[in-house]
Parts: sequence; structure tokens; C-alpha cells
Amino acid sequence: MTRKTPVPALSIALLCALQAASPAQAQDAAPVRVLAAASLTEVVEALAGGFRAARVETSFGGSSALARQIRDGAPADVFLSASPEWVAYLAEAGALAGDELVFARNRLVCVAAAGSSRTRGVGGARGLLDRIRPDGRVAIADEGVPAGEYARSALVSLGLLESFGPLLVGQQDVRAVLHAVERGELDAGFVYATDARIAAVDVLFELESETHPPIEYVAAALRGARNPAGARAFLDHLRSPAARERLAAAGFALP
Amino acid sequence: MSSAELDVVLLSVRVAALAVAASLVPGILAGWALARWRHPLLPLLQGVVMLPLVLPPVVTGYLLLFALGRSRPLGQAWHALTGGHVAYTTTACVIAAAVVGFPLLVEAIRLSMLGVDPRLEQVSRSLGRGPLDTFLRVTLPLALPGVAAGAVLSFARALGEFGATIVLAGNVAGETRTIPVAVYTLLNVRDGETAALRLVAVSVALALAALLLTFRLSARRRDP
Repeated sequence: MTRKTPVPALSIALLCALQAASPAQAQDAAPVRVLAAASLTEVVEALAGGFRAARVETSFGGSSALARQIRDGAPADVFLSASPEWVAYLAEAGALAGDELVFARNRLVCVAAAGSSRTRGVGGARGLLDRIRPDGRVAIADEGVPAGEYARSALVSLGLLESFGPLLVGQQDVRAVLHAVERGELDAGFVYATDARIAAVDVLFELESETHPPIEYVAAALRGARNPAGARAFLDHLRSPAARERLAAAGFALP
Repeated sequence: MSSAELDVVLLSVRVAALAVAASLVPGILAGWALARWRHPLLPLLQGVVMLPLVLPPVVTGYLLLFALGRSRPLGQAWHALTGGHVAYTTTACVIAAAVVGFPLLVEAIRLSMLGVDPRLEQVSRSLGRGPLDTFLRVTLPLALPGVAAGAVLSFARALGEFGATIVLAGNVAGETRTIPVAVYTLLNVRDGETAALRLVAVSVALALAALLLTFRLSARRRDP
């Protein structure tokens, strides 16, 4: 008998302790959940590390997929989109809290696996096409994913989308494009200039900014936030000199 | 349904049909071996055959990409032989669909071959037919409803294949964008949901039709 008592007694004590602790702790420690475009992975991880107001939980993916998750009620406090388009989509869906900010810009480039000889010196999109047609494959982010939309607009402006069509392999986000190219699975791929810096790839050429809509990163506080104050604080953090310095160091242009 | 969506459906049906066609002969051989052979290592063979049924399809796709990727030895051997590539082509879709549908085909064939009375085969042999002749004229015809049921079931599975396909074949419009890949893509597109729903409806209809056909074929097997 006496041997058995400690277990229930202990669990009751533990339960009481948990109950006493949990409401207060949940208030204090409600994390700021940041859903961010895949291209922001490293820089947002770093920015989250330097954010003191609350713990930050990050998750990364194509802005399109993240926007849809937010619209469908996924728990999130802040959305960092690689395109104003998906922020506008959430605004229409009534999912934004009102605080928004363009905090970075980017450029679009075409990359190949480091040292790959097949695409060396192609010069531009036309040259790439001539070099790898007909059995080559070029990675591009899927339709709707900002990196894919920018790249498709650029190819349309260059009058090359139709010729590239059968060569384009869709990937769920820009980092999937980057890593498929880096592994040598595909001859080339369209990624942001900042992505090209973090992988073993060579930049073949840039898709000039006149050929596609401006690449703007928009931060938005979300209406469904469980930590609205934390969300606003995170947006302020993005405006801070330290954050701007970090974004610049990662290769982003600042507005 | 737009012509692009129709293309997606036709591609899916073509890929699934090719996958079943390619796996039919190996499937019959494997089903027969698993039903008739007695060997201590047989469960291992069965395990390997059934593996794609329980492995996450993405893992199957990764293993296939590991073998057949453009920068891999097998992929390069293929390139040397045929001048083409496997990964990110319709061929890759067919391979992914065939591998993932194979266990369903083999299992249906194995079960129907187990249902064939071995004495009928013995009689055939005693009347002077060779083993191949006996297999083709006695065992296979009797097991045919199971073969058909397995073919339809693996066809349906092939139609729905996504995980291995997206890894090995990617998402190439007109070439590897099958129904599941197209639905996945449309979910990323603004206002893509109505088109996605149309494809979802086609997908449900095809899958249900295939299942009903399988039930019919299996029922016929039970009461000859």
C-alpha cells in the first residue's frame, strides 16, 4: 500500500503544478509564428534569432502554398511573401491585420550546377535554349509560386516561353529548383540572386528587371494571430537597422 | 473542361495503361513464383515485391531517382543506350506508376494462382504437356480473372500516383503533369480551384469505375 501511494500523489502534484503554470506561461510564451517564402530561409532564421520580444517559430515554403494555408486557417502570426500578389490575395480573403511592409527586393537569375560544362557561356535565355534543346531540362518554380511567376513573365517578355515550355520542370518552391540544379539533376534553373549565393551553382545570366514585375518581399501581420503584439513587433524588427543590415548582407536589395 | 485539362487526363490514362502493360509479364511471373515456389528465401522476395506498397511513395521516388537520375550511373547508361533521359520525362512517370502499382498486380495474381488446383496442372503434365505449355494452357487461363482484377487495380493505383512521380518525373506540362500533379499545381494558382475540382471529379470517377470493375472481376473469380 504505502509503496503505491507515491505514484498517484506525485502525478496529482505534477498536474497541479502544470495547471498552475500553464495559463500564465502560454500568455508569456505564445510564439510568433512566421510563415516565410522559401528564399528567405537563412535570413529569416537569423532575424528570428535576433528577435527578443518572443520566441519565433518559422516555417518556409512557396508563398502561394503558405498563403493558401493561412487562408484555410493554419496557425500563423506573420506572413513574409516573395510577391505582393499573395498578400493581396489574403487581403481579399480578409486574413490580414492591417500592418504591411515591403522590406526587401530581389533579382532573378538562371543557374547551373557549379562547373557544369554543358551550359557554360550561354550568355542568355536564347543561348541556353539553343544549347540544351531538345532533351535538356530547366527547373522553374510551379505556376503561382512567385519565383515561377516572375520567371514565366520574363520568358513571355523575351518571347521564349513557348519554346521553353516542354523543357520546364516545375518544382514546389524556389529552393527545390535550386537544389535540383545543384545536384545536377537538371541542366539549369531560375532562382533568385540571393539563392544562387548559398548553393554550389554558377550564375549563367540574369533575367533583366524590365522583363518581369518587380520582385518585392512583403511582410504582413495576420488577423488570425495568437500573438498580435508579437506580430507587430516582428514587423518593427524587420524595419530595424540591424535587420536591414542582415538582409543586405544576404544579398537582398532594400526598399 | 479545357483542352489543357483534357490533355492532363489523357496523359494520366496513357501513363497508367503503359505502366500496367509494362508490368503485366513480370507481374504474372512474380505472382506465379510466389504462389508455386517453395524456398526459404521466398518471403524475402515477396517482401521486396510488396515494398512499394508500404514505403512512402516519395521514398520510392527518391530511390528511383537515385538509380535513374541524369547524373547517376544507370541514368547515364540509359542515355548512352537510347540518347534520351529517364528523369523528368513521360518514361519516368510510367516507371514510377509501374513500380508503385506492381505489388497490387502481383498480389492479385498470386492469390488467383493459389486458387488454381495443382492437380489440374499435374494431369496436364501427365498427359504429356511441358511445364511452359501447362502454365500457358492451364494455370494462366484459370487465373485470368485475378490477372485482370490485378491489372485494373494497379491501373487505378497508377492513375493516382503522386509521391514517386513528383520526385522522379517532376512537373513538366504535357509530359509528366498527370492528374494528381496538375491538381497539386492548381492549388498553388490563384483561382485555380474550379479547375482543380474538375480534375478531382474526373479522378474520383476513374478510381471508382476501376474499383467497381475490380469487384466484378473478383466476384467472377469466386463463382466460376
